[in-house]
Amino acid sequence: MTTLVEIVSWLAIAYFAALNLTYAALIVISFIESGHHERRARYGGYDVLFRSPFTPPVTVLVPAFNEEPTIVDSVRALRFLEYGEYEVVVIDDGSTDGTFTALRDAFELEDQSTPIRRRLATAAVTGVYVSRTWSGLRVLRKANGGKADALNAGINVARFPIFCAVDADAILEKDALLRVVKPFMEHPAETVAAAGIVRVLNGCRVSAGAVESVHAPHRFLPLVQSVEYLRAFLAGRTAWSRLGALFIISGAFGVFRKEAVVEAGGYRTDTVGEDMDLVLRLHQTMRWARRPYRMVFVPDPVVWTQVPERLHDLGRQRNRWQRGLLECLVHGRGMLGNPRYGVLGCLALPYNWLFEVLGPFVEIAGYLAVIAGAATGILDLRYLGLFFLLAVGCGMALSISAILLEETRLHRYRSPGDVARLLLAALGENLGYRQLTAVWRVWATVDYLRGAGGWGHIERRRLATDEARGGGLAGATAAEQVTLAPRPGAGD
Amino acid sequence: MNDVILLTTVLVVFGCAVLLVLLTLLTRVLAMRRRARFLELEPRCREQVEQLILSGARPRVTGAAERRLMLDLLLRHLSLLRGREARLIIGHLEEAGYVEDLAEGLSHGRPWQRAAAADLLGRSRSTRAVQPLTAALSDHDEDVRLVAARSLALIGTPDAVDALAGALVAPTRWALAMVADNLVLLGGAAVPALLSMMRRDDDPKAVAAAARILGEVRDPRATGALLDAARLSADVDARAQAVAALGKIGGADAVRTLLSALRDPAWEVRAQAAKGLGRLGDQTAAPALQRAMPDPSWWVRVNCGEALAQLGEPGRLALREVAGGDDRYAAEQARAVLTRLATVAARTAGEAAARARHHDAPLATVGSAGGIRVPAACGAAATAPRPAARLVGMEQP
Repeated sequence: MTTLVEIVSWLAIAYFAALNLTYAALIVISFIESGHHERRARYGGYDVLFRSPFTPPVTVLVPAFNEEPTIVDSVRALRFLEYGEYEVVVIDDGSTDGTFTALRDAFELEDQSTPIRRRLATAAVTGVYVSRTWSGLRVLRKANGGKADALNAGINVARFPIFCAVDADAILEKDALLRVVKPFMEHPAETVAAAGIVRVLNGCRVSAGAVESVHAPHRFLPLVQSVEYLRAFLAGRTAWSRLGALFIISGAFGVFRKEAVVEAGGYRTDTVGEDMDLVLRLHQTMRWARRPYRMVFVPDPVVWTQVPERLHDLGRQRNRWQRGLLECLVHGRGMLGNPRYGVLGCLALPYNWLFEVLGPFVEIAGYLAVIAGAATGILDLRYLGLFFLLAVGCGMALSISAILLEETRLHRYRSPGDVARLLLAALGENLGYRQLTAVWRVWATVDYLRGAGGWGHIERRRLATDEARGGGLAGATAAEQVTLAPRPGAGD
Repeated sequence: MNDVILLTTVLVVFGCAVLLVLLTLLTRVLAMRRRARFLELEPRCREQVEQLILSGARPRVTGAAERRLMLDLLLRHLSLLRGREARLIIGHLEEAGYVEDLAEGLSHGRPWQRAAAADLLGRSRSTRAVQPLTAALSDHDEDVRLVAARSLALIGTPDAVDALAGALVAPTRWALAMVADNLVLLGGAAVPALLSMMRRDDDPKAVAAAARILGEVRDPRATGALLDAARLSADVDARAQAVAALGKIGGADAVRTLLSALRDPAWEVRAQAAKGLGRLGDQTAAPALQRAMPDPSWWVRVNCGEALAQLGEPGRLALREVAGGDDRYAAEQARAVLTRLATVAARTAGEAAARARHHDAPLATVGSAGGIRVPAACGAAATAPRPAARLVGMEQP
């Protein structure tokens, strides 16, 4: 019995060391890469790119399902992007509320009988409308088919070779498009996709569909998620991007070369992780065709999005993310350990299986072992206590590193109080929140194995024209289908 | 594991966490101090810059931070000034050693530091910066070369044209955007260098880039070289860019070349030719565009339809014939364009009528609005209930 306990202990220590060393390595790479990016951005010539006729035109795709309260403000905000030539295509995915009516009234839509090049199969399109007041806006009406189907329909009507997928309830910063498209200009032949950062809107002051001042949320749940998002994007994706193994581009904000996406078959409609799935299939398509390609994460273009403020909603969201991760990993299992896929196949995907899928099980097993050990007296409680402290310390160090990264490179939170709150959240998230997340993820894996699915619903607060502070999303609440929720990525 | 080792590890990890917290706070404190220092120095420096501009009094600075701030303020003012005031600032930048310091920075340090120095030198508009910037054109880092070329163009020396055109030899699209802006601004002065780029038969990328910029400059001197590239280049992109440029510059030769480009084997060239013919508005092109409309490529069909829409009555007649023709895909496109034209015409007529009512003037004639005659069939389509979007299948083989 003692030998078994020793073996398990050593395995746990090895796993724990591998996990934290990997995280530490990713953080170091992120520091180097984001510093390089920040220095280059100083003479990036964004003003030149803005007025240059050589900046490639972009189609912004906005899939919307029952977004009546926010859609007009969101679309209006897209009108004032600092970008040369772009069009906005809103895809009304069979909304049952007044989404289309609101758009029609606000932008004076009129029917445009136009042939559609159906390069990707989608649910039936019932109409294409153009705005009389803004020639760059088109609205597509179609039967409900989910977010992936809506995006595929948008790709079919997109006029330009590059498209940007944005959530209908997200707020894109004015210069975000210019910054995220730059990789397509620097490496035009190779770049097939680029991602920007998703940040937490809760707590920020919003005016006329734009973020007026940035603040960390006051409520605990959104605050902790702010730290999580910083960790996932700044510390995780920057590093994976640098290694050439970016495995997810958030559905809330991603830019793609249309031809590459069409070649890969577009978004898959039978998964809840359509964003990660597309990225993995793009890798597959390019590798099989033996074409040089790049998929990059750019840390400074920002899209702001609301995060759940209730435990119940958060649990559903995390359940869906974990199931999406599993679906994508299982679907792309041929890439696992396959040298053809380079760092992605040999490092990024094993990392996901080992730490993102297996990790929550190991963590929960550890907690159960503590309880069992305490009950039976087999395990050395002092040893387990120290081990728990070590795990908490590593988690804190990781989160604080992400905040330091934010503070040294991007510096979005102007108030010292915001930084202090984020630091406190980094300390507090390891005592309860992290464990709860692990339980949700284990449960999601069980759901996946049982074949339980669905998108679930979350309760979201409606954006008011002038946002109140302090977790302050004022206004009426509206239950919305979470097809357009942000996805910081499979638990990085 | 030994308890002592574990305990030590825990302490080290927590120590690291505490250190990271302190580093974060220190970063914030330093940023706040920098901001406070800036707010303290800025009024004094600004006043000195204003004195320099108004009375020629030379600013005096002490310390590196103040010097950096002064440089920033001088360059910001310089970007808004011309004439005597600009000369005063440039003179001070030279006399106070700012230009020399930046030139020195251009020759060593990391690439981003050299690029930043090149950027600032360009903004200084000092002729003393030309020599170091020209030397920087052979820097091994692409960013430094690009910024140096852009800076030379800002200073406006003749060397800048060749330097900028040289940057097109192996262009990324970013490089193109960065230097093209300056070449377009230089206008006629850039044409000889661009024409010599057009003669680089061994480098079709450079030819395509030069053709594209010549299209933006719209100088008739470029027509001959563009005609040659459109007709003779083996590279699809070079031909397409040359055809697109001809569609912007115009002229009888350009129209003839665009008409023959409608039969080019590459769809990119055909699409650009159709677009150019529409832009030039030459009504004699309508029959050729009508013949080109049943093209296998979606983009060629779209551009032909849009071009015909811009050719007035002959274009609309051609569209109606295509709409009633056998080719399903071309007919769909033609009907879509006709419906849109009718909608626009009906709307314009409605607005004209409303204006007329408002001014108590006679109503506009029904069926004619804004110089656009509304065909009977199209008028009916505009007033009839709007059809759902018609869908066509995959790209025609």
